[in-house]
Amino acid sequence: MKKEYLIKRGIYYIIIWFVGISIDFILPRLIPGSVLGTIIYGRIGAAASAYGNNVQQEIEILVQQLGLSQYYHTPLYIQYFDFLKDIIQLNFGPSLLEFPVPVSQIIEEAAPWTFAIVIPAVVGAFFIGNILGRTAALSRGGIKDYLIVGGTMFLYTFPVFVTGEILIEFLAVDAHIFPLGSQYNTFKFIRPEFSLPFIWSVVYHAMLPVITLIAFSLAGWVMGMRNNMIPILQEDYMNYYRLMGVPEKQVSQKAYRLALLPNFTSFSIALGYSVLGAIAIELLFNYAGLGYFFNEAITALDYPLLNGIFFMLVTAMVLSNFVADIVYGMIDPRTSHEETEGV
Amino acid sequence: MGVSRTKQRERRFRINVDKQSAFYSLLQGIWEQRISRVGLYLLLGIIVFCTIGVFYTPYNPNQTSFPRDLPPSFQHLLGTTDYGQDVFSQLLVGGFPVIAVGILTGLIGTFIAILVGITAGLYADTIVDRILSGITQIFLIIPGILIIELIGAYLGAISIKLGYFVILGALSATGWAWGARVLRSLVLSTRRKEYILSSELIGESKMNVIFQQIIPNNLPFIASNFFFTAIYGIAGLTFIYYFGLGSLTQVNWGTMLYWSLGGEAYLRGLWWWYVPPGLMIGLVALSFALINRGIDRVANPKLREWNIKKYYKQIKENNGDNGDGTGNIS
Amino acid sequence: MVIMVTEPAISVRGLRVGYISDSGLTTVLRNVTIDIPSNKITGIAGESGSGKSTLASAIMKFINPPMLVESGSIIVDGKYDVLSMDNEQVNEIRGKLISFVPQAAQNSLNPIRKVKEIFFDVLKSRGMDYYSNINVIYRALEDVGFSDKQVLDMYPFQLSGGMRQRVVIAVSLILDPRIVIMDEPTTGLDVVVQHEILKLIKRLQKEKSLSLLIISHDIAMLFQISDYIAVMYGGQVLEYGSYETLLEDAYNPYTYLLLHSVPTITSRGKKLPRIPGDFEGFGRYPKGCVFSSRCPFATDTCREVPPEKVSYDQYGFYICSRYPEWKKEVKKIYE
Ligand SMILES: Nc1ncnc2c1ncn2[C@@H]1O[C@H](COP(=O)(O)OP(=O)(O)O)[C@@H](O)[C@H]1O
Ligand code: SF4
Ligand SMILES: [Mg+2]
Repeated sequence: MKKEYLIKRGIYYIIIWFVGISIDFILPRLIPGSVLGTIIYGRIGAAASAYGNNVQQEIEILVQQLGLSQYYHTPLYIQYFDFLKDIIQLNFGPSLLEFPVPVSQIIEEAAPWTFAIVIPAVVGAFFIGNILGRTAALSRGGIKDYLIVGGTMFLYTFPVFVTGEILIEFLAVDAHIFPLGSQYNTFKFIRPEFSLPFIWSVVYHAMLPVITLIAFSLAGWVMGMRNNMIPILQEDYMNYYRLMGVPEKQVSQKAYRLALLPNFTSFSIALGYSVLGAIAIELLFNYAGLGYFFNEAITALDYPLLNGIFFMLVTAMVLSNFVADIVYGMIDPRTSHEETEGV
Repeated sequence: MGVSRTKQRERRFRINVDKQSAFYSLLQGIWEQRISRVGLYLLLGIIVFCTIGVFYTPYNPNQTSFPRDLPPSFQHLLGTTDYGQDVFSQLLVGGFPVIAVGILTGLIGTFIAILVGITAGLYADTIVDRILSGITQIFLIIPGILIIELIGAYLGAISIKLGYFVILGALSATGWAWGARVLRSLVLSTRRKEYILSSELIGESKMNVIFQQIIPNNLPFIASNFFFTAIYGIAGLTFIYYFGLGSLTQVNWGTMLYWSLGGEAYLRGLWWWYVPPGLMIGLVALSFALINRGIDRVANPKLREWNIKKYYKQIKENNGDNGDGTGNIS
Repeated sequence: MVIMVTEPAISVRGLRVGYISDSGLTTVLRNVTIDIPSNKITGIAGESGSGKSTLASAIMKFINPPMLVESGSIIVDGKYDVLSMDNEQVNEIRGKLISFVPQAAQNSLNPIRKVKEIFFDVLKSRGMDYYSNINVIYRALEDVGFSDKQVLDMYPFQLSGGMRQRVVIAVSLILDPRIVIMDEPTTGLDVVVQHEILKLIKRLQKEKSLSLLIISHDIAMLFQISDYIAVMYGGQVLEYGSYETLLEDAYNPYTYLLLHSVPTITSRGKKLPRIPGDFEGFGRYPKGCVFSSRCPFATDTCREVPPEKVSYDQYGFYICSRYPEWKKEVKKIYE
């Protein structure tokens, strides 16, 4: 039953994934081909003299991928088939911005940096947020509750990049506690290698973006934990512990563990969504991850790169949701027997 | 069709009563929660601030003739920008569109959510439901903001920037999925309760069931969804401007953030340029979130907190005239 | 009349308990005074909403907002004044001296803990080790009729309703309490399972000589197993006495009506007396006798003046100002 359910969900996610990545296919075909053609020639033209003869070939690829109809007369379904073939091989063509570097290479280099700030941010926010949420739930209606809920909610509604700007201005520019940006210290002759100074430099440079992302995402965990835990604290099975003389501290510990289950499930989804948060702050920190290039690509109208990053993000979202379903099935003993609500 | 006029009027009257009472008790419940009252005051304050901005600003917000990068002073309460504009004047005029887009996104998004969610719930497990739920899932999983940004980038090719109405449309079109999904399941569980079933048996029309039972019963969620979607609207608008996809011809908090970012205000110590609009956006969203908390508590009375010590004190004081009667303490 | 002078297991004096809400405090229990005898089964009967669970919670000192104790005292086992004890002291006797099988036994087991982990949790809270007490647990399971130890490795959702009820009883008895309160132990179970649980309860009481307080809206069921029975209505105990007394000679009309409104094989075809109307609710509490609005024997005095409590032995008492006159009117009314 559980397996069937996961297979069903899996098929569902694959459909959603197809719909998502198809946006990459549809959008360029809605823009007049001549406009895109002009942009492509305009961008690449500058690089062409330095690059030599292969330009024509690269342009061919782009024309095919972006479906510039007046250059490329093939039926749409064949175009779509070609598009799928390319995209599954992670072949997005060359970036216009960094011509002739292939988009896949840029993504390959940028993605790890994004994960380098997103994963610590999600883990950190998970721990801090859950503990704060527990404190709020246990002091429900008290001053601690108001402070925690109000504070984290404020950090959440405050535009995340403004948080980043403030942190940079006051902690990096004014106080010199943190570096101004980039992924590691490029001035001190530290080369990207597996050495202690390099690792430290990476950690040090990741701190401020991570703090920004944590500040942004705390509220989700806090509210999740608080709202899960308060009803659980009043459940009959928690009351039964109390009636058996189990001290309140142990009871709330058990309630905490129960309330943690759904938050564990949200973990992978939060990973997916924090990538979105990263996209909004990487440019500020001059941090060359996916978000940085997404920004650059929007400004420079680098459509191949944009499509590539969008593909990565859609894939990350779909995957993280699927993983959440799997985790949910694994950690909650009830799910294997419970009915699952339709779709 | 065959319903007589009087009967129709009767029906309409009943609809009104139901909606008002549920709505009124919700409003009352929100007002009684301290946390949402704080939110309401905050929102009211901001709206007053922005309304003043519509009629009066100390300087012309578009005027670029002031000295550049002035820190806050009595002449310029929030200093000036790198382009020589008065920040406080910009802040005053720049709020209205942001709040309007937020609230309208909340309204339209919630409306779509009601439409989709209730339809899917009423026709559960039919092809209609499958299709609607499928679309809902897509919007749930693929962030709408991302799609909007991609579309905005492609529109950039033909030199189109997103204006208020396009932004509003795009955010409403992407912000309804969560509400629709929850409403669908709420409708399903309400339907399982007998009374809807029986009224379906009696042959009341689906419209009546929707307006007399489903909507009043789920009003707290609908209201909460409105604020939730409004927060999405404001955050979405901010993001659209952050990525430079919004139309820059008018002054608003979003364009202020965009220009301050481009002017690298945060690297040059010009905090008065980007903190105020950011703070205002945060406060608007915060006020929505606080009101939302209040709704949450109205919807889940189990979550209510009691100041039990206060009551014990009253009992001690009242002791004596408590021997009979209803024993009510007011 | 034989007077038994034994220490009551639970002694409730002048207990007033209410619930606060937006409209103020609604008193539910009004001056409840009752002694629960040791080593006996005592049943508390009453319609749902009459305050039975509220009384049980108060005895366990399980008083959570919006519930609130206005006055009164509860002495458990002759020496524990539970209402004036602090949480730590109460936790000390909960489960150990006085234990509880909640009304919602079906939902009383932590859904993500296996049965053995629930035992583990309870034992651990007393600084006791699960493994060194494994034999005690096996015995407890046997006591409630599990010959198979597999149940220890099951999650609550894998158990049937009757199994869950028995597991909760086993957990409640694991610390060897002398007094046990069971709130609606058979409600929601099918008839066969109900019967099994009742047999089990009776056997356990005998074997362990428990002082058992069983709460139920099902007066017929209580008459099957109880030694003493209290009848509650509108937050008051209208009548309390031994099984025989109540069965043969109820002092309060409500008891009489309750008993005679239960269909039995002999009553087939006969017209059963019915109790007309509904309890008016705690908000509009009657001025005189609580039952006066529904009592077929009520007079104007009943409606105006609250009747006195009349005790006739160490435990038994009734509240009715028209005993024994109303007995004479029974025939008139139902024939
Ligand atoms: N949590 C509560 N909040 C407010 N009133 C309550 C609550 N629990 C019980 N009551 C009131 O107390 C009365 C008695 O409840 P209860 O003791 O559960 O009755 P019983 O167990 O006899 O069915 C109910 O009619 C209700 O009005
Ligand atoms: S006192 Fe009067 S109303 Fe109350 S039970 Fe007795 S006869 Fe009935
Ligand atoms: Mg009860």
